[in-house]
Order: sequence, then structure tokens, then C-alpha cells
Amino acid sequence: MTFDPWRAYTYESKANRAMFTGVMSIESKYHVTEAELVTETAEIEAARRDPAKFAPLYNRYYARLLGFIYQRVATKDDAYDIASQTFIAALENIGKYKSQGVPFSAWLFRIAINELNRFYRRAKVRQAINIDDTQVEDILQELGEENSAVTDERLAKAMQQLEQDEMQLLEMRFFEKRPFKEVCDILEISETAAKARVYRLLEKLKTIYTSLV
Amino acid sequence: MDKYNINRNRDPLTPEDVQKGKDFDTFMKAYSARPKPFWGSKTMYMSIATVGIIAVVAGTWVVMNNSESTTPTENPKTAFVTPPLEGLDVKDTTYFVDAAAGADFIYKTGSFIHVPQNAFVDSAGNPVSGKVEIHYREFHNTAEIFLAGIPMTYDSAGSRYHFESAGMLEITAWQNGRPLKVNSASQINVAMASDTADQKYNVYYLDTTAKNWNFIAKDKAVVAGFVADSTKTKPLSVADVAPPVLPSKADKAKHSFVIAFEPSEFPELSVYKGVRFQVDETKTPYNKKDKNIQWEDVNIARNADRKSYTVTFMQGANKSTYVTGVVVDEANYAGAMKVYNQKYEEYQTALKKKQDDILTAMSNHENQLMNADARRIFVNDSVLSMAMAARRANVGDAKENMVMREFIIRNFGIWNSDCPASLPQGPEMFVQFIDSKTKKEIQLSRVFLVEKGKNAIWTFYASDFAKFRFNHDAENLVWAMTSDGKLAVVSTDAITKGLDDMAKAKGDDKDKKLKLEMEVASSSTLTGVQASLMLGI
Repeated sequence: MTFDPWRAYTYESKANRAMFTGVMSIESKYHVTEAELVTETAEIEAARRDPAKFAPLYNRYYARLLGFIYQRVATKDDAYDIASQTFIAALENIGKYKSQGVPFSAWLFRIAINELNRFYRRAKVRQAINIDDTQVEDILQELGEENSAVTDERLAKAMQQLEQDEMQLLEMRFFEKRPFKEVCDILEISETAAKARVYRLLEKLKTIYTSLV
Repeated sequence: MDKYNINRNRDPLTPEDVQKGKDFDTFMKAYSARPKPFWGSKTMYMSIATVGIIAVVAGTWVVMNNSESTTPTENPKTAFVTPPLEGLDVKDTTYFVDAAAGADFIYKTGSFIHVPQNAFVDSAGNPVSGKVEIHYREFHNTAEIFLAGIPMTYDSAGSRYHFESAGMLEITAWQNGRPLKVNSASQINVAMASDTADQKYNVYYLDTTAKNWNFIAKDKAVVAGFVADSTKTKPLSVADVAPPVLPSKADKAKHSFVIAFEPSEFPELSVYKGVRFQVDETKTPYNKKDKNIQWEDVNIARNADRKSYTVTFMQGANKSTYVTGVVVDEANYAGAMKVYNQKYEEYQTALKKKQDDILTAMSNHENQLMNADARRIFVNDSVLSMAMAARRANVGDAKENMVMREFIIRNFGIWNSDCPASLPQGPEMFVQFIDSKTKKEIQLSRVFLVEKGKNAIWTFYASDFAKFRFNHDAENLVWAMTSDGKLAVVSTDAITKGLDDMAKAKGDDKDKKLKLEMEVASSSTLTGVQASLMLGI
């Protein structure tokens, strides 16, 4: 058998899916429909030729990107600046974007993570974590703990001991409730690897949390 | 000191907040006014002279300080299974199953996964109910194994063996983000479609904790197919009905070729006039030098996506390969679209008929018989038919039967149908790896020797470079990863050249070194096409 580099990225054709209906379950690998992907690919192609044609992509993703960034910084002004830098970097590098089934949004978020890291280094600020009571309760539940002022404080201390990549995973998976597929697309890892990392992260958080009791 | 600034219950962004920052015109002004990249700028050229001087000084320092340099060692934190190139690992397919009910699945290669009722337990050994996710993938050739980062050496009784594979699989199960274990009382069975019927293989399980393969049992290849019967018709498959190829209008700014092809080989193209093969430069950049070469032969291969074609020009050992799309010239475009629309309608009708035929055939279990082995694996003809259809559509294997290898999944993880392969026969040599561009030696911690036609990867560590050996009568390749994460490859031709140079070199044979020139990727990030072209498989 010859090596087909695309084999890993292709999935069963529509015809095959129709044939297998009722016999097996095949999960769609995408967050967007094929039609949306086609439209988006055309928009990306247009923006490659003429940056002014970037408008549809900018308008579609601005709110989501701003929200993603705002979750990770302290002020709205910082979020606006980093969102602008992210879109500039995206447009500069749009020629390098290759879909391979990964939605454009995931690629944008990857760039945003780079811009955020640059911001933390340059501004010498600590990464901001924005979390509400429900999210704290959810995490405590994952750790098998009841919510109280004591456990709440202990969790905050435990979170301080997580590495940046672990915190990134915690934010995406538990605070932002992103599906595993999207987390994989953003972090460029396989779904199995993502799940293994989340599992290890929870184990680590639990170990640290328990050590603080 | 705290690492993070944790804020609680902050107000979320309002639509007004979003609108305040969302202004495409302002964004475009900022984009236009941004500092231009350094590369190619005047500043860059002015800086080169200065950098050059510094580089000479720094270079001298590096050489002096590396005179006793040791071979780079691998990062001890590196995971046991580590894909060497980002984004090129073999992706997995996700299946969902109700744990209490179980289910059967057919993977794209035709492999059959049987999940019995109550097959899962949690980490504490408690039975699991509800929806479970199964992640499944397979590895069938050296490139897939290499790109997945799966170790192909096996340590047993103090000796290291290398593996030759008849196929590998990875299966894991998850619920709510947590890994599950196999219920030993209700184990999953996988009948993995294999590319070889050879009976020399064993079943191994990769123990990632002990970092070694565990021998499980002797493997047995089983041929699953339909009994030869004059009344038997070919198994039905929707893959037999191919959609028409949608031609694009030729882009004069892009390079394209007019190639006289055999209409019977490419009936989907022969219906159009003025067909050209237009280079897809996002996958294979156009080489201007090719235009001036008098090519002797050309090969056109239809790609799995059924839209693009790989065109290879040949002149002796010289080859040039392009991924192309089908286009027609402007004069014939309107006519081509008319033909396409008509063919598309015919395709839809034929597809519907084929699907109906398949459903009819599936409901009639008496119209085909399976042989005894196949019957043991597949529940009925319909399932076998579907497995073969999947294999035909995704792997391109048009055989009338499938070689299956059975795995009883006792633990989730990587399972392998392998046999220990001895090192290739050939004289031992002291090998050095040289960057083909800089002509400087590359320090590598290990290299992987691949012999075309064998599904094996032989690993040589730096300590083995003084006794490197390979079969001189075979076509060999050497793959490696540089210390800065770039793919480096010694081609078959470079090995031949290295042997020739070594033979011509003066001095005693025992003092001679085999110098192999490696092509080093310009970046640690490669596309699938770039990687496959470099790997040469």
C-alpha cells in the first residue's frame, strides 16, 4: 500500500455515510457544515488576493475572538488591542493557512494564544483568569468536593500551581466548555492526546488540592 | 508569587462592547500602517554585513567549544509515543456506543470492531453505563508508523529486536473526558484488515509504562471473502459509482499541462474537450526548470479525493511530480459545464439505484455465502460486503477478499501484529550524516532505516553509527529528526552516491566512512504532501 498523506484527513464520503446509516455512527469532524466550509474557503482565497476582502472573516469572528481574548486579560482595552494584533497577524499569514478540515476559527485562536503570550511577556503582567461561581462549582464537582468558602479558596491556590499549558486546557475545556474537537484543533493535538492531557490535568489538580487540605 | 491573576464574577462583554472594537476600516488602516516584515527590507540587507562579521566570530567560538561535542540526547521528558512532526499524526475516528447495548463498527480500512454489551469499566473497576466514545485508528505502513512516533524496537531478554509490521491499531474509550478500561468479562474484538496474509506475525501490546512491547500471542491471518461461485455476483458497492469530475476554467496565470491520456483509463476526463492539468502550487510548487526538460514519459494517477491528479514526468531517473487540478480552456468551458451537469444527473440516478440494489442485497442473506473463517468474524454477508466496500473506497484495495487479523482487546492502547526482523544483511560501516546544503555533519541521536518493500523500521542510535549496515541490493531510505525538530532524509540515490564516493576514497577500507547526504526540511512544519515527498514512500 502506498502512503497517502491525505488518508488521515479524509472521512467517509456522503455516499458511504448514506450506505452505513443505521449500522454505524460516524461523528462529523467539523464544527461547521461542508457548505459553510466551502464559503469560508472562498472568502479566505479572496482575502489572500486582496486584503480588503478580509471583511467577511473579520466580521464573522470578531465577537468570538474578542471574547476568547477578554477571558484571558484584565481589561477591555487590552482585549481590543490584542484582537486587533491577532487579526493583523492572521491577515499577514493568511497565505500560510491550510484548512485540512480545521475551521478558520481554530487557526485564529491559535494566533490569539501567541499574541496573548507575547502580551504577557512584553507587558510583564500575569495571565488573567476570569471565572465565575458556577465554573468554580463545576471544577470542585470534578474533584469530588463540595462548594464552600474553604474549598473555593483551596481551589484558587491549587490553580496557581498549574503550568500555563495546563491552565490553557482547564480554561478551554472547563471554563469555556469547548468540545474536545475544538480544543484539539486549537492546540493541534489528537483527540486522544487531548483527553489524556485533561485526565492528567484533573489528576494533578486533585493531587495539589488534596495536598493543601 | 502567584502565577495567575484570578478574577471572580466579572461582567461579560456586552454587544455594545463588541461593537465598540469592531471596525473593519480602522482595522485595515492599522494593517496598512503596520511595520513591514524585516525579511526582504532594506534594513535586512544593511544588517547582513554586520551579522556576517558577528557570525564569523560566533562561528569560531562555536567550533572551538564544540570540538568535543557529544551527540545530542533526547529530551527525557519526551513521551514514549511522540509524533515527530506536528499536524501529521494519523488522526483517529470517533465512534459512540451505548455501553449496555454494545455495537459493531466498520473502520475505513474495512476492519471490523465488535463491542459487546457491558464492555467498559471505570478506573475503579465499576461497570460503566451510558454513552461511551471510542477512539480508533490504524497504522499500515512505515510512513504512518514514523509519523505517529510509535517505537519499532522490542527489548526481550536483554536483546533489542526490530519490528516488521502487518498492521497496528490504537483503541481507547472515554466517558466524560475520563479514560475507561476494558471489562475483562466482556472484551472487545477487532478484526483488523491487513495488507499481508503471511502467518509469521505475533500479537503485541505496547506497554507505555514499561516502555516496551508485550508479546501476547501468535497471530493468525484469516481470509474473509465470498465463496467462489459461478452464480455469485461481485459484491455491490456505492464506490463503484464515481461522481463526475467538476472542471474549472483554466487560469492563464497558473501553470498547466496538456497531456494525451488514454480515454479508457480516465473516462471521467475523456468527456471534456480541452482538458489541462493545472498545477496546484499550494501542494507542489512549480519548477521553471522542468519546462526545458525533454521528458520521456508521464504518469497520471487519480488521487483519493477524486478531484485532483498526480502527474509525474520522467526522464531516466529524473522525476518531477505535481499535484494538479482538472481545468479546461476558456473556449471549451461552457461546453464542459453542460457535460458536467448532465453527467452529474446521471451520477445521482446511478447512485440512487446502486444504494437501492445494496439495500436489496443486504436484506437477502441467502444470495451470497461466506467461507468458514469469514463467517466466524463477520455476522453475515451484508457486513462483509460493507467492510469490503469501505476498504475499496478508502484504501483502493479491489481484491475479492480481505485478510483479517483478530485482536482480543484486553487493555486499551496500541496493539500490533508484528514479527521481530533481524537487521538487514550487509557489511558494517561507520556512517556520517552530512547536510546536503551546508555539507556539514549533522549530529543525530538516532536514525531510522527503511527498506522499500518491507514494512519495517530499523532504529540505529548514535552508538550504532560505527556499525551501520543495510541491504545493498535493496532500495533503502534513512529518516531522522534533527535536534531542532526538522525532518531529514537520505534518499536511495544519496545512499548509492555515498557508497560510490566511499569506494573511490583513498586509504584502507577499514578507515573509510560512509558519508550520507541528507536533505533537511527548511522548516519543522511540513504539509502532508511535503512530508510524503521527502519520505519517498
